[in-house]
Amino acid sequence: MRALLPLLLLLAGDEPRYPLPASAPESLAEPGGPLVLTDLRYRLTHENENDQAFAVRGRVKNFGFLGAFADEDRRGVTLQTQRLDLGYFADPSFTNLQAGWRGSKLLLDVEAEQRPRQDGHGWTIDGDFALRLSPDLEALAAIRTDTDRGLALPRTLSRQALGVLWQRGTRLDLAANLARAEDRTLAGFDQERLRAAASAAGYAWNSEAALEVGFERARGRAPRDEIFASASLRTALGRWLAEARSANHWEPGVLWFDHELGAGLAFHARRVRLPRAREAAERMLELSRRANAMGYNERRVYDEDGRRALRERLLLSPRRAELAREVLALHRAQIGERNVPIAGVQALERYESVSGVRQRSLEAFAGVAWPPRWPWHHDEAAAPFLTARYTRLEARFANGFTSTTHAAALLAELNREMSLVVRWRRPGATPLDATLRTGRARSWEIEYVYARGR
Amino acid sequence: MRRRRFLQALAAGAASAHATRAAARGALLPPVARVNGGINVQPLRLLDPAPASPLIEPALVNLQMRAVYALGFEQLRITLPFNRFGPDFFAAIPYVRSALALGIDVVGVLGDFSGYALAQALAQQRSAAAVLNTYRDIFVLPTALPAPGVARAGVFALQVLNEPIHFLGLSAEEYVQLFLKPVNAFFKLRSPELQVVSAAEVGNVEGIYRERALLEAGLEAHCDRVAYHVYSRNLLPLLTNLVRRPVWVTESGADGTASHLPWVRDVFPEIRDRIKGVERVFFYVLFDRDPGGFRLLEITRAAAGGYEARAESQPLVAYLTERVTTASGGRATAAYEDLIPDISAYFPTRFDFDRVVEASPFLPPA
Repeated sequence: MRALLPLLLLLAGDEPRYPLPASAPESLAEPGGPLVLTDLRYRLTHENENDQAFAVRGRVKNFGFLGAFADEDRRGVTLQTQRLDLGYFADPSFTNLQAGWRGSKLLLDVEAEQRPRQDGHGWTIDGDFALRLSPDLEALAAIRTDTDRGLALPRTLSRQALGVLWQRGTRLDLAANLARAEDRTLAGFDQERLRAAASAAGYAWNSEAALEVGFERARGRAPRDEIFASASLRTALGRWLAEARSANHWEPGVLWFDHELGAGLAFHARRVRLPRAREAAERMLELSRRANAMGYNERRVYDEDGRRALRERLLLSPRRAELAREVLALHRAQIGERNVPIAGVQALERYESVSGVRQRSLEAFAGVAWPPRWPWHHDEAAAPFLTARYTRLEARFANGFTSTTHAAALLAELNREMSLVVRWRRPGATPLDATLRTGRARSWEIEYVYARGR
Repeated sequence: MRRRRFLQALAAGAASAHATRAAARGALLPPVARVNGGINVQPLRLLDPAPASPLIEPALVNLQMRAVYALGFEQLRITLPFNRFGPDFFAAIPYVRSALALGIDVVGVLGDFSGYALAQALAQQRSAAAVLNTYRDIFVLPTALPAPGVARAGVFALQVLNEPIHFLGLSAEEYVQLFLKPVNAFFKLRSPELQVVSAAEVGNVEGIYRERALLEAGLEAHCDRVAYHVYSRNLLPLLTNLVRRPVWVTESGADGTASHLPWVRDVFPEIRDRIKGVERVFFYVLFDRDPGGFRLLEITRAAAGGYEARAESQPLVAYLTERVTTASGGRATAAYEDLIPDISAYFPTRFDFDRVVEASPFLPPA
């Protein structure tokens, strides 16, 4: 691996500057110590009283990542190697065990949750399986079972699902699935749900679009048929990013009972890059194909955290030296294609018939890039630095009762791996609050996040 | 203290003895045949939309109850407005008691016309006990005596709130767990013979989602009768087999006077045929303040003083009258005045005011 360093340094181009320096991408390929801190998260929340959450994760040589967290009463430890994921979480009520295995063809993820003693101490077990049929094609299956079906608690008792995912390059993902589930209602009777859905997500003409359509049939005491469809579109126009989305649920012969419609517009300090386009997407495609050829079974992913996890796993693999160049190239492309939003607005409206609640949200943000410039200044070297965000959420209930929630946040990205967020929230009172004569407390939150290799 | 004085003064003024003057006369004739199902009645005190006076106008109560009797309704549904035990609460008393005396079964809605006062009172254990005991003492416990000539007094049932998702903005789970379940448990323990009726939700197609949510939240386990409101025929196939308990359609009607008769003549039988377990259907409404909408009658002040009623929904009133006449087989029947010679006999009594005075300290602050 040390022999690779000169090559890696050659690959290193000009990184965007932040107020504080970050670790070099190459340092992940060559950790340089038996234990390297990779994640650190601390959160202090004040709402009536103070709550703290702390999480830490580190890389142990080339063996894997060990993590631990404490969040109020919840505690947990995790272990991740290239092929194995193990987790244990517990709070005074529930215990969770998690295990995942990444074989050359098979992905397996099993999670078991034990209910508290007063609910019978039974277990709910969820399993997700993926069988790789070709570099671009996977067959998916999922199952849920419960060891205590007699318990009256409302929950999903069982679920079986089959699906398929086809990823054509980075430009198109097609998926379809069929699922059957048994739900126990609060009333104690069971409902069976049968669901079929198909989805597509793709990129063309500087735009990303996603579409899902499906049908669900509920059988039992309260039978119903439902058709649902959702669509979203994001278009990059130079330094502008425009977004629109809609989701609808319709019961044939009855009415559209759930609508959602949203739109947003954001202005960036540099040209906008979409995750399925350009170099990072190409690098990710090459890397995942190479990894699959080696039997490492990696799916294409389009979000920053997913790509970071992909890089981490491959740098733990026995053949990491062969992959290091591609891994670093992907990381550099991600860094290079960062988006730097500096102003924007988003509006969303949703109405659903069950509660009769109409929700309207409006979000606006303004940011300062690093190095600071006037907003209209086009700077391809800019990096995100400060972002102030304000959200107003109005919920109008069927009786005209209106609940308005205000939230604000200030995010400082000190470098690409380290951020500090201050959040404030003043929730609006609901009809239940009016009934119980309870108030809603304002909350404050401060969170520090360090994520090496982000 | 002011409130107590007000209640005591009201009690003293309204206390009345049972009139017997004309009772014997009415006992000679049978009452009007009750063949026309249920009707919703508003507990009017005065005709003004927001009356400043706390009085209950006997003529107004008589006018509505006379129509209910004459049109042969079998059941009456009326809101018993909590109103922090104010004048509107007392206004419901003569309607309920006179209906029971006429042999008409009553569904009293534990409700309020606006605001969260009742919901707040029911959500706290101490005030809930005070409120429910008061309703029980005034509406549930008193043994109704049938008017002379009436075979049996009507039976009182209690409906727990009205369209809670629509009028209170609560979720189905909140309604069932916070209100229906504890109210039902309260009465099952103390007055097990009382029929507790669940709230219905809005009667348009949107209501089916809420009815399903209520059912899934456990509604049926905490009531004796499930209520629906039906204002759309499209609801009928959706409600067909939804519940296993007997069903009372506590509101059904059509907007627009011209559609009243077709609704009652054609849709009411359809409701009974298509929704499994329907026992009662209540027409909405005898009188409200919106002309040309749902109401059967128009009530106005008479030039000579008092009030007068006019059949606004004339074809439906004629249809109902015809059914009564046919059912009576041409026999003479007792007039309303023969059975209820003095409506003030059914007005709030000292006992009622004392119950309210006792409960008032336990109510949550306004």
